[in-house]
Amino acid sequence: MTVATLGTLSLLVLFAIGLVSIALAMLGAHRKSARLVEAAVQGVYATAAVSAFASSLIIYAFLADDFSIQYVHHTSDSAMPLFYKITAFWGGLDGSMLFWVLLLSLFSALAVRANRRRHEEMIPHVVWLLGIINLFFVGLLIFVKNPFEPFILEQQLAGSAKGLNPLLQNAYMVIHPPSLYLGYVSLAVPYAFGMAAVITGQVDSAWQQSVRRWTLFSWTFLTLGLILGGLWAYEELGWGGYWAWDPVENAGLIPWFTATAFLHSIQIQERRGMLKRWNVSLVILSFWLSIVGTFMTRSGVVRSVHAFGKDPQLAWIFGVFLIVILVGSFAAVIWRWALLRSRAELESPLSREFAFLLNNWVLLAMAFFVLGSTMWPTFSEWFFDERITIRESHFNHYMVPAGLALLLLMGVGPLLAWRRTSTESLQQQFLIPLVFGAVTTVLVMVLEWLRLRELLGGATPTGEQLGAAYRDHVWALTGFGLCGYTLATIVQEFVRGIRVAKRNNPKLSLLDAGIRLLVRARRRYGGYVIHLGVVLMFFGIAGKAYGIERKVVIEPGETVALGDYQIRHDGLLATEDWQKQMITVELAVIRDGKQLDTLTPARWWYFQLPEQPTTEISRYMTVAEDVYASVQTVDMTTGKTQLRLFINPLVNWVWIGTIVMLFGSAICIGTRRKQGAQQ
Amino acid sequence: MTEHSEPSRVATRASTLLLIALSLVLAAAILLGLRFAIGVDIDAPTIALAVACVVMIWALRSMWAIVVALSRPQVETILVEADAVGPRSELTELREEKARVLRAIKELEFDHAMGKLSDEDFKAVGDRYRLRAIEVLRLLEPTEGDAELHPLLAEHLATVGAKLPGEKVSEA
Repeated sequence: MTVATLGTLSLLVLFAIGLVSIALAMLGAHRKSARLVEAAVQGVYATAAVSAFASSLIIYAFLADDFSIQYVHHTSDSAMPLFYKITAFWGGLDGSMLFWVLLLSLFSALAVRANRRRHEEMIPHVVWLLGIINLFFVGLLIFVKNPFEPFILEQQLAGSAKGLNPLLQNAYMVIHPPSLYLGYVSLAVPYAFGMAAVITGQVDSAWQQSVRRWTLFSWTFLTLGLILGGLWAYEELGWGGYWAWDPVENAGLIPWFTATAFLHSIQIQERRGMLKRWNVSLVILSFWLSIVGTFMTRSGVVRSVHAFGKDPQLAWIFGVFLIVILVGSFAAVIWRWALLRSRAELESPLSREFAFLLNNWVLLAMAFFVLGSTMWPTFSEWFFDERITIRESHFNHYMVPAGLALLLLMGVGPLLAWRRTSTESLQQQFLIPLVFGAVTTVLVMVLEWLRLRELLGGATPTGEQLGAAYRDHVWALTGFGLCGYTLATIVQEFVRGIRVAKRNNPKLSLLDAGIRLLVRARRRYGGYVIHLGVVLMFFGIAGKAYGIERKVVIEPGETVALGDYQIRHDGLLATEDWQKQMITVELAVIRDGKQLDTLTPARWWYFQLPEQPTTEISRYMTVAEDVYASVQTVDMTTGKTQLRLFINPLVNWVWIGTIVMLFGSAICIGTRRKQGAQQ
Repeated sequence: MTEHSEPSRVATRASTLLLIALSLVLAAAILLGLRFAIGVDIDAPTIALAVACVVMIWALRSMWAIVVALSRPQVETILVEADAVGPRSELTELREEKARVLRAIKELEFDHAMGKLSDEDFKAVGDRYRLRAIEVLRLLEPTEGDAELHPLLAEHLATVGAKLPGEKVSEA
């Protein structure tokens, strides 16, 4: 039996087990039969094991260079390094869907195992809901995109193996898609628990704990995936930026917005019993948007450097699935409308719940704005026969102020108390952050003045010139000011918290009190650490406004100015290895007459895909800025090199902020205390 | 649904561990057999094949578990829904509510200590939480001494005109 046959057989078994598990879970829920539910749960575990088997088969096929399988032939070649052969598993459309099934079935098994005793009534519903989602993807694998499909005719007729797209042969690209998949797929778990809570009528609190933790897990991986995608674009595409509102990156960002909104609004439900309908709707929307993202990436309805290509059949199937999820889920919510009513009302706009609510509205508006703008070119093509292009500036025009509004709310929310905040406590809480925010704004305005004076060669800028500079950088200046304000809020929260901890236990050292705070109030202070990461990211993003870009054509020996730096062309180097040909440019980075570094940007031509040369950038990194160089074209006879040179101020703070955010998420997720300990 | 007894859970865990150990031994035996008996090079595809074999055993075992679950007599309990499940769910709900209210009180005290709440607000909001906590604790741990209400709760119930336990109808 060939691997292709065994693989296809395993997919058929997977489909059969999926059907049986769904039927057993539905029957078990209907008859309240422990035997049937137990069998359905075993079906979930079996699904995970069989999908792991199918995945191990495809990995074996890649490692053994089994080019009789079409998918292996299209995405691998025998010269590829072992590491990339394994990651080619999810490098193409068919394999990525099998990877999706693997992750979903593993998550389903984990979620069911962790919660089956805690939420016994909900479990059968969780099983059939997750089973249906999994069955949809397994069905796609069998009927539309079988990764084990062999060549019908002789494999040689298809030519030599094509290999993984060179753009994807990058360490970030190895981690980026799995991170996004982990985020996307794990959103199915909160959805299943949320819907099971709605179906069983246990909408009060039973589902919150499990759902919150899973959503945080999804959110963490979406964050990691999005940032790694940005880092990949920054290092691999050579255009000097990391985010250009690419439709496929947007597809990951949209559910990130709704998941972020949910992680805030669920706290209102926990504390006040409010917003049940809203929270269930956010869980549904987050999952639905994760499927929308999958649809956008795989159907080819959007044009992107990351998309898998056009597939109208897949577009229709996903379209129908999306409608079914939306209609079915909201029909269940309407059915339980009365049960989902709030137990309390908003008492004051000067309350933390109102700040969270505002944050939710902004996040939801951002999600639908990005979704609408991303899909608009496709809709315009469908309805008006003309594909309208939406530029980066359109997104930035609306998203920058919305992002700054979020940054402001991040500095306001923690200072407010639940229910209502008294006037004197408002003064006491807001004084330091406001002063700090104002001082930061004045400071950056002075720095802007100094920058302008330097640009004018030491002459004092006129009021008009200064006004124009402030207008040009209004969002960056506001961003820096808000970063100062929000940073002060976070620091104040920590300082006051430590002070309270020390008052309660004077023997504690400052460090011990800080650690105790993080351990005892994990969610609150873990959340503040995430906020700190976001502030650092905004700081890095605001720096972009002061970036410098130059496109130059220079010959070896020539020097060009780039801001405060001099870039000298030190020559070209043509090399070759077993996989590709490379032309590397050596550039000296000089400042104040001193050579700081040698940059080596390059162009690579893979033998398998010579028509798709890759751009390998090189950068001189400091905490203040990056000096970034990429090669566009090289004339090997004259040595004339076309370069794109950038100075990207503060860019590395975006990556530092991400690390801080991930650290905060790890604190928030933490470990679950044992049931006994809680009681 | 039926709760698994501790011994059966231990037995399940032991059998799982045994299966993991056996799978690893089998994979090692296959690889060593291929290496020394047939002289095959242990390269990446061979290791992948051994892993696939182990995962296949796991897949077969988990499929068998469905059949076992369907034929197992001891879990053949038909639950009489709501009545059977109701009290347990209610208890779980109450325990969760207890944890939630106690956490809310702690946070409130923390916020007050940090100066986010005025004394007046702290008292007003805190009293509501404390009353709820007392109610939940009483529902969770009813004891004989419960005939007497906590003075704070009794006072609150009196202000809202509720009938106190032990009061005769004529007195109400």
